[in-house]
Amino acid sequence: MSFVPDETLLERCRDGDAAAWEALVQRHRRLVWSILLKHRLREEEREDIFQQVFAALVEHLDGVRDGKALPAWLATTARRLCWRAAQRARSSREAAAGVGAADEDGAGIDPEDTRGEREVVETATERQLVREGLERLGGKCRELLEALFGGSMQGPSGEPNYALISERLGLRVGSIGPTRARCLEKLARVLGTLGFGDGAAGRSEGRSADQQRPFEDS
Amino acid sequence: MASEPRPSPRQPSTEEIASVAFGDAAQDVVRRIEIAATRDRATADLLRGMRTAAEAVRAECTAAQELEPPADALRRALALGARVAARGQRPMGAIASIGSALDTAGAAIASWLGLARGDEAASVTLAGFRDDRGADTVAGTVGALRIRAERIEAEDGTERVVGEIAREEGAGGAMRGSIAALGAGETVLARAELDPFGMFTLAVPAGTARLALIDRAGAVVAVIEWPARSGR
Repeated sequence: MSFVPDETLLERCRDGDAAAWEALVQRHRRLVWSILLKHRLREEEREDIFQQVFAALVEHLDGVRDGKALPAWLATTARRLCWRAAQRARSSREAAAGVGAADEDGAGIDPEDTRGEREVVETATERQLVREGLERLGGKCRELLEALFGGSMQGPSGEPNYALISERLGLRVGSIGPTRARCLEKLARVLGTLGFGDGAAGRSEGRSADQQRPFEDS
Repeated sequence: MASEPRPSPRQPSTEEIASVAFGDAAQDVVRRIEIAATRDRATADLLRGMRTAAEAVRAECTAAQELEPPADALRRALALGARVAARGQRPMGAIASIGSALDTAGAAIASWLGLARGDEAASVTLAGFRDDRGADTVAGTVGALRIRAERIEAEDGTERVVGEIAREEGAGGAMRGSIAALGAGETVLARAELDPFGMFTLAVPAGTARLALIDRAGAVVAVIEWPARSGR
């Protein structure tokens, strides 16, 4: 299945397409949740805010037209709602304790996380770019990279279980190496195009694999 | 003495570069690629690009599980698709939609508003829909306010209502006020302020079926009422 950009999904949502909504939520769920995990909130508060972020998106579907800005919009909305929730919780505690107004600086962020709020959002949006890169890669290339780097098809020592990968993906063990190289190269280009990291990934086009590309998306 | 030209080192293959980026290349291959990268810009760029990609995917795959939202939270976000789908069916005429799935609740609200505000002609539009947990989500418009609320039952039996009150475009910023759970005889069982976005979360007694929206002056603006639960 080919990659459908956020912009198109947003447009379909504006037209009332619930399937496009599901695709948007599935694509961005981890981005939003990763922001919420960085804030000191009770689990049910996180779950409520998770829903509120997407409820806000439904509400602002007409205003969010730039698909490329959607991850940042979601991250910012999530962060703001976390602040509000933390502020409310603190106000309640202080009201109960009879003390003055709360200090807003760094409201709710986990103090053990020494990185700033901006970095939290940047990290989350970069992760989102990786997910988008994998999604754009699609097909067996994505499956292969996820199998190689993920934990589901690894042996006891953490090494990829090539026999299992071969069986699951219908790929000869001997062709995993070359295919991995082509897929990684392709992902590097995709990530570069998406502006991931320092962009070095996108400058690798001068060297492309010359073998046939069985998993190349058309 | 003339010396023979030194053979140029073999151009590293893409597969070898990938194995270095992946981290499973033999030491001699790693050394050869790193030397080649100092001499050849394209090799250096490819190695850097592949390393970046490999590290990114490794980090993402490692963290994927912990960044996964709970199934219930995801389900609730996906259920918002009903609101998206409702966009394709707009607009519903004022009052006309009361005759649909929520006719009983709509009539109750209109009646309540009439009593509460002394305004029998209060124009109420209420559009409701059912999600996969039953009739726990309501949405509607009262004047320039759009109201959406969902009643959520936690596994421990406690209930919360989560929602938002938004003004129609051009009708000013978010509404300020509060939301109250109503019991028999219009007693207020619980109350919470709307946040600056017009959103709210309210812990309510189990079975609460009615909420009152109260403006900053203390006047009841609307009552949100759920249809009876079905088969939960």
